[in-house]
Amino acid sequence: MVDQTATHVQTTSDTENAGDFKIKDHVVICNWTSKADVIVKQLHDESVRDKRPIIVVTEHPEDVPRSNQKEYRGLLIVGGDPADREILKRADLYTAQTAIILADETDSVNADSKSILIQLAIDSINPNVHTIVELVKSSSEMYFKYTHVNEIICLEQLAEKLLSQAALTPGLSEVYMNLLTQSLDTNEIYLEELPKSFVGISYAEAEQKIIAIQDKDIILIGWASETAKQADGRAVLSSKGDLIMNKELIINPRSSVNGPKSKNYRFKEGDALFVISFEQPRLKEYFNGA
Amino acid sequence: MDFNYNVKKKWFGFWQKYKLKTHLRIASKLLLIFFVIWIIGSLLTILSQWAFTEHFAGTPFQLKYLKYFWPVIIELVSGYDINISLNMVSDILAVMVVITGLVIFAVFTGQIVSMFIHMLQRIDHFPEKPSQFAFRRPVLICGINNKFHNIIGELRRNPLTQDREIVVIHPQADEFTIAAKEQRPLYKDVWYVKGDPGDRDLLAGVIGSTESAAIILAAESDDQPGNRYADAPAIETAMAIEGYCENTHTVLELLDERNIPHLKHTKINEWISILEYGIRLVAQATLQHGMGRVFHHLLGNGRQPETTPLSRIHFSFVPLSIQGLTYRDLRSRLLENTDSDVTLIGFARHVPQDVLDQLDVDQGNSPYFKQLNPVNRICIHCSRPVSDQDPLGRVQRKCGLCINLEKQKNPRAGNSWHFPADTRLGPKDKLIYLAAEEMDFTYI
Repeated sequence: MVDQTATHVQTTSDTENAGDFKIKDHVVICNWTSKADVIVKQLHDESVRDKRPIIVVTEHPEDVPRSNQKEYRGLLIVGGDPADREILKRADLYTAQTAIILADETDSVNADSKSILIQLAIDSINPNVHTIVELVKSSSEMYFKYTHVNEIICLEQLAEKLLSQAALTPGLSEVYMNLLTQSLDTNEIYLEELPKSFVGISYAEAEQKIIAIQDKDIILIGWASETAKQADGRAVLSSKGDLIMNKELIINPRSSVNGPKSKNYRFKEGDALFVISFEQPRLKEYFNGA
Repeated sequence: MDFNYNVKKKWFGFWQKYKLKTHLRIASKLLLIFFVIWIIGSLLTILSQWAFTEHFAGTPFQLKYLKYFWPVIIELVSGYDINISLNMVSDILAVMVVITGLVIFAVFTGQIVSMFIHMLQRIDHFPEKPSQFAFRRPVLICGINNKFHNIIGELRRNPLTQDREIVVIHPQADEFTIAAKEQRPLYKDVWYVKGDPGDRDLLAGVIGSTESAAIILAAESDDQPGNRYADAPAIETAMAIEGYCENTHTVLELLDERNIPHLKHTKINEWISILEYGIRLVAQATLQHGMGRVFHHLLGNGRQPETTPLSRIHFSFVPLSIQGLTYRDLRSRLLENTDSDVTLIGFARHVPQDVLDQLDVDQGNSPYFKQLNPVNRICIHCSRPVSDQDPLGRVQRKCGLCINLEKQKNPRAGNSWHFPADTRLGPKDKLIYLAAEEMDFTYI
């Protein structure tokens, strides 16, 4: 494990946005909490093929365990306030693939406010980085509408939904835990790029083709397609005049109806498939050129 | 039967809402006092008329004196003095009877007024569960925290609970009000019971006559994170419910996942440590961008086009008509069926407790093995058939040769057992599937 703390001295100053490590497509974790250990282990689980380096940005670098476990290989630390632009730049945020903002568990009252500040700092450096925010209170969600956050995981909402559904459907919590745990022994939901040979075929036909794979256990459950964001029936444009694209998710499409989002839907280029599988299925290896 | 049940529920609900039992008890006491005063007042009047009226003095007692019962009741109920000549002592008695009557009637009228004032004051509160009526399949919410109102909303929006009563149990349950007026429809059939949810006497009156479910919410605590004892009250409540009625499906909210190992050998059915789920969801969303939204969909919080209603994960028993079919056969039939709006994702295998004991398998507190995405009996590495299986009929995803090779490289490599897709489904097994609503599968 490489350990870089607040005392780490930046050795490169060739570009304005260069960070301490000069790496790219990595994951930046803002704030370290007792649960962040699970994230590191999940992201570096043996079932993950493309393991990405992780940079932790925290005011308390001493809390990050100095572990010899193999999941901790490739974990780098930048000490400092994650809401500080300069500190985030040191974590190579400009070239990062994903940023995770964890709720500060030492200050649960102001945790969401701190997360908003970090999000704003990230937006000011690299608005294109895929950002995932852990929120404590659902009432804070509205403030993130004005940021470039991609996914919000609200613990309060999640608890309410899981508790109520598990009470009505016995065994459900175990199914969700199975789907959420990254390992070779459990299933996860994967977003798979559409194989070229699937363009033009229907969802129902794709379902049959995927089930026919013998040496992989894969279940197709839906698809995502990109659509232009609309308001009042008109396309929404960005400040530069570009179309703003939204991903529309269809899970468990219907076969009893004949609509455009039913099982008769014919895939087009750019669509992606949601599948349940024990490991990344890599459908392209099976179907491209078939 | 449902009509009778609903009528009885409404009647007992009305009875409880207006506190008719209490009011009737008070009214009956007042009537008794009223009756006693009437008898005593009348007898004293008769005695005073006989003893102190001049033209009656020294004459023997006569039955005609019983007429004084009438003026006394008139004085008692109305304070009106009827024109019967009385002596001075009787007049004093009459005044006392009139005053007593006024007080009793004031109390009686006050009772009726207080009943309506109480009703108006509690218009934004939940009704109290009728003590004389047992709900059939209630969902209990034990404890109140900041998630409480949204959980009621979630339960009410779910088609599975639309006809089930929700009972909130908490020592201050009578103080909690409906969140907002526009949300009032969501609170239909939500009742409260005031008291400690771990109290057996209280549970006896609340737990349903057939099947109940209980959500035990963690107590709100100002403690710093890391205090594992913050879960103690909720765990105690869950254990009390299981101790009273094992058939109740208990779902416990945990604040500290370090308590999970303690629960594995209790009868508590499910526990949710939200940090554990949340953090795994963050990890999944990092590995697969957009996965947060997929889980939001599955949990009923997403948006889909109107033609595609939101799907959730459901469990259903295998109906008689398809028992004995393999999971694979059933999946093929569903794919061919154009009326089926279901995606089968697995099954839950029921294994009787005696079999588990015999095989020395610790399955915790559920007789079900949940198998998502049942596997093919083909090695994922070399595509050779996998023949070995455990006593429960489960197989591994790799052949013996590949497992041995893997163990040489990594002795700690684990290879878990999974039910294969050719497992025949029995009557107690359940299907796990994605659908907008619970299905019975009899149409296949």
